[in-house]
This record gives sequence, structure tokens and C-alpha cells, in this order.
Amino acid sequence: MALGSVNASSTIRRLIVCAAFFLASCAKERAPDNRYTLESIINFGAKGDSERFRGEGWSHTETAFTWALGPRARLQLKVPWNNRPLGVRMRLGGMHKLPELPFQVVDLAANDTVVATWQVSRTTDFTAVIPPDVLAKKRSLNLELRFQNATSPQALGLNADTRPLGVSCFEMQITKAVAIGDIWPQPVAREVAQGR
Amino acid sequence: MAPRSAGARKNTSCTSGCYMASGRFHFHSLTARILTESRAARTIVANQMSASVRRFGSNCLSPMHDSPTTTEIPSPAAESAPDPHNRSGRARLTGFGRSWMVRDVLLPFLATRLMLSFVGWLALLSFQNLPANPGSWELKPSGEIAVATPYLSTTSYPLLNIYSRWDGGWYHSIAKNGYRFVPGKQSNTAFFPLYPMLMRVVHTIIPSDTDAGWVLAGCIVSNCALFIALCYLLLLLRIDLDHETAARAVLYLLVFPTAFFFSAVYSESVFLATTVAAFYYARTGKWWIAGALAGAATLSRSPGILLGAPLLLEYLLQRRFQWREIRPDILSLGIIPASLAAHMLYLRWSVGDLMAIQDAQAAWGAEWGTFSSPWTPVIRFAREPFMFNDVMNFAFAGAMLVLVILAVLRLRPSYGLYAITGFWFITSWSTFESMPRYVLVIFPAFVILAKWGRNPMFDRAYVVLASGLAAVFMMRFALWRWVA
Repeated sequence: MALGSVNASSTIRRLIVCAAFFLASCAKERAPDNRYTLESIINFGAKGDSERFRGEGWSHTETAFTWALGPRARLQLKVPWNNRPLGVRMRLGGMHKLPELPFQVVDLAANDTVVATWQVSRTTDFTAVIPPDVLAKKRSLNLELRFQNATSPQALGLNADTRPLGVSCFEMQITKAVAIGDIWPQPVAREVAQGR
Repeated sequence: MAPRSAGARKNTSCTSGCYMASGRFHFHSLTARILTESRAARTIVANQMSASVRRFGSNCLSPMHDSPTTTEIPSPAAESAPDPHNRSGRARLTGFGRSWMVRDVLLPFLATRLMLSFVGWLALLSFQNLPANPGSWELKPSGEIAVATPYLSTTSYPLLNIYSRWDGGWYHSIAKNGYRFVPGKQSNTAFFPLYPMLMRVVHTIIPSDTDAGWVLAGCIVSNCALFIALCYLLLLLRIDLDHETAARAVLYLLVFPTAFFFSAVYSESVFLATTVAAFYYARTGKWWIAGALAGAATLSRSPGILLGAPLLLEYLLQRRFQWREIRPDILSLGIIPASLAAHMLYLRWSVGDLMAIQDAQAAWGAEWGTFSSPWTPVIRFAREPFMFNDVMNFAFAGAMLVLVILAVLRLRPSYGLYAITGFWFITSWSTFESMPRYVLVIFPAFVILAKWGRNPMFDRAYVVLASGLAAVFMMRFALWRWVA
């Protein structure tokens, strides 16, 4: 009987150790927390926490921004359930040099649907509206910046940097928005389609 | 007559006593209360008839009102009766002069609207460097709508712009261009027609063909409707409550955190005006007017269709659930479904889809229909990342649930039924997203608050807290940030 007790307790001990290892490994392999609170600003500089949202296509974090590399740079966010359109605002500066490359042409795709095309040169805010049918009741939002002419500074004769740079991203914010084109088909919708 | 009155008196006493003593809700007490309420309502109608008889002579005396009515038992809801000298119902309703309209409605109305406008304008000035929300629009100096870029304008029609955000655009588009439906997309057919129709009517007298003229028309309609709603609310509550409590309910409604929607290009004020007026005319026995106003409420917002149930209950209360006393005026309640049917037929004719309302609502992810719906957002709230608005939505839903339950237990059954059906309706769309705005029109909740407001501590706390939140919400709305 005593022997049986000893065996039982050692078995329990082993099980506890195994469970601890299992939980530890789960914690180690757990995906980074990419939950996003609407209206919060993601800072892509050294003081921000954009790493938890960034997928492939990003360079290292610099003091105030992060370069998005060509041909595409991805962001993955888990957003709250929402039945309104979502508005995206990104502060971007394009890799450009006059006259060879006056601006970067950037397509913003949300869950594989292109929602805006921007011409990015000097640093400014760009906005887009993601229609609710693109989200389709999903909570995961995959944003992709697609560059048609990402170029290295070396190729433009600026410096020795060989990275294919698209845009420098300073900050990003997602808010509830209005699908303005649904309300005002013309001519306001045309202004929105052109971006800022 | 006498034995019945005595019985009623005994019954009332028992009901109130049991209710107060146990602090619990009993079905038999509700039944007794309904019967007593029906007698009280009949008293008011009969008193009005008596007043008419005195005024116009006895030729119009109906056999139904032949018997004296002064022996009726007052309603338990008739706390601190406004007139102890047994004046007629009409005298009770209008005999307190016209000064109430200025003192208890117009002044609070103007004061709160001026404060909200000032706060909204101040927000525009204070946050000039805040990037405009994506997709946001505003009135430009030309008076036309255009994308707000890169910042919101502080000088271009600021007092109109701060009231024409978010869904204001949908009403504006209906008034200006009519209905437009794109299957699978958010369309303006999700919105009801009365408010844009009134905008069109008012716009005819505005000498401006620009978008600014349309927004101005919307603001005029909203504020006029709000003023009318407040007048009728005070008149309605005066039937059962003392004047101070009724006036306090008006004030509490005006300082409610989301009360700025009443002045914005939104249909809440029109809905409230038609709903409260419908209840008022129902209480005073003018059923055809009540039915027409309830039909108008149905044409202003979707919850209007639910008015049929509380008004029917009110009708039956006044007839003491006696089938023989039902008159052809009960048909007036048929105007409510008829209004909805007419609007649906109009949509069938104009956009080719009889169910365009529902189809457009589906594009908002609003799924009507199951009893599990109210739990869906609760579960989502517990599981998913949330934001400031979610916390506010749940806070408002929780507070309103408490007030609705109290309204059911403590107010006239028809008011309670309106509160409970209204609350059920707005929580059955799989989301609490616009809860702080939707609860604005559940007026019985403000009656409960006004009763609590007899306590000076509560009164001060409510006014300070609600006004503070109203200022914050107004600022967010003016800056194109989501509120409700």
C-alpha cells in the first residue's frame, strides 16, 4: 500500500513536470501579440512597438521610422470585430530622387484586396478606407504595401546602401471610418480614390 | 359603482403594500396594477370628456361617460398628484400656464445646445493638428461637401460641420438624391425616410442650393423636433408625476452624454418627438392622432414598429380589457404596420427590392433575429481585444438594463413595455456598437432617473457626470471620432 502511494506520487510529480514543460514550450512558441486597439497609433520608430505587427518585407527599426522593402511589406493585425469600414492612416516618405524617380507608387492591399494606390515622395499622411466586406467579419487584418519601383540608394547614386527601399514608415493608425464612396458616389469618392 | 370602487381601493392597497413590503415582483400584483392603471387612465379620459361637456354643453355626452368618475382610484403611479383640487384632466395638462415651456423646456434646451455647440467648436480649434479621420468629409467654404484633408477646417461652417458627421451623410444623401441601393454594400436604404423628407420640406424655404443648405435643413429639423419632443415629454409626464419631476426628466434627457445626437443630422429627435407625442395622445384618448404619430415614428426609425405593442396595451388598459368597450379607433394602431408596408413598397418601386432595408442592414453586419443575439457581443467583449467604445457601449447597456427593469416594475405598464421592447430590439443586432445613441429614445429610463433625482445628491451627481461625458462625446463627434 505504501509502495503504491509512492508510485502514485511520483507519477503525479512526473505529470506536473511534463505539464510545466508543455506550458513553457507553448509560451515560448506563442505568436507575438498582434492585437490592435482601434485609434491607437503604431509608431515605427525606436520608441514604438511596431515589431509585433510586422511580417516580411521590413528592414530594421531606425530612430524615427522603419523602411519597407520591395516588392512588398506585410503587417498583420488582430482588430476588434467591427461592422463599419475601417480607415487606415499611414505617415510615409517615399524613396525618390528627381528626376529619375519622382515618387514611389504604392498599392495598399487589405486581406488581398487593393484599397488604395498612393504616390509617395516627401513624408506626409496617406489614408485609405477598408470596406466592411473586405474584413468579412474576420478579426485578422493583413495589410500589404506593394511597390512597383522599389530601388536601392546605390542604384540611384545616393550611397552604398543596396537595400531595395520602398517607403519609410513613421506611424500608422486604424480607426472606424465611413465608406464615403457609398454615400457620395461623385465627385467626393474620386478624391478619396486618389489618396492624399 | 360604490362596491366596485371599494374593491378597487382594497386591491390597490394590497398591491402596493405587498409590493413595497416584499420588494419583489409578483405576477398577481402586476395584474392588479394593470387593472388599477386602466381605471386611472379611464379617469383622465373621462375627466377630459367632462371638461368638454362643460365647455360645449351636454349634447355630446356619451353614455359611456355618463357616470361620475370622481370616485375612481388614482393610479399608484400618480405620485404627488399635480392638482389636489380635482381639476379636469385637460386643466391638469394645460392649466399650469405657458411659462413652463420657457422655464422648463426652452431655457434648458437653448442652454445645453449652446454649450454643446461651443464645446464642439472649441474642439475644432483645440485639435487643429489632429489628422482628419480617413474618409471624413466636411462642408468647404463653397458650401459643398468635400474630403477633409489633411486636417478638419476650423473656419468653414464650423457650427454645421460639427453636427454633420458619420451617419449624417446618409440622411443628407437621401434628402438630396433619394434612395440608392447597391446589393452587398452599405446603402442608404438602411435609413428610414421621415427625417430626410422633413429635410426636403425645410430645404424648400432655405435660400441655398449647396450642401450647406441641406445640412442646415437637417439641423433645423432635428432641433425643432427636439423642442417638440421635450414639450410633449413634459406634458406626458405631468399626467402621472409632479411638475418638478417631469421637468427634471426633460433636463436629464438634455444633458445625457449622447444628447448632442438630438441636434445633429440624425433622426433620433424626430423619432423621440413622434413617439412621445403618440404616447401623450394615447394617454389622452386621441387614438387616431396617436396612431398617425406612431406611424410617423415607424417611418423615422426601425424601432417604431414596436410601438404597436405598448400602445395596444395602453388602449386595453383604458378599456379595462373589456372587449365590449373596444371601439373602431383601435384600427388607428394599424397605421403602424401600414406605414412600414408603404415604405417597403416604395423601396420596391424606387430601388427594386422590397427587402432593401434588411439587405442594407446586413451589410452593416446587423443580424436580426435570435434570442442569443444579445449574448453575442457579451461573449465577444470577453474574448477579444476591446477599445474605449466597447467599454462605453457595455456601460450604457448595463445601466440601461437596470433602468428598463425598474421602468417595468415601477412605471405605467405601457411605458414599461415600450422600454423593454425597445431595449430588446437594440440589443438584438449582434452588436452594442451604437448603444449610447440608441438608448436616447427610451424615455421611461429618464423618468426613473428623474425620480431618483429627488435626492439632491443624485441630482447633482447625474448632472455633473452626464454633462462632463456629454462634453467629451461632443468633442469626439466634432473631431470625426466614433461615438455611437
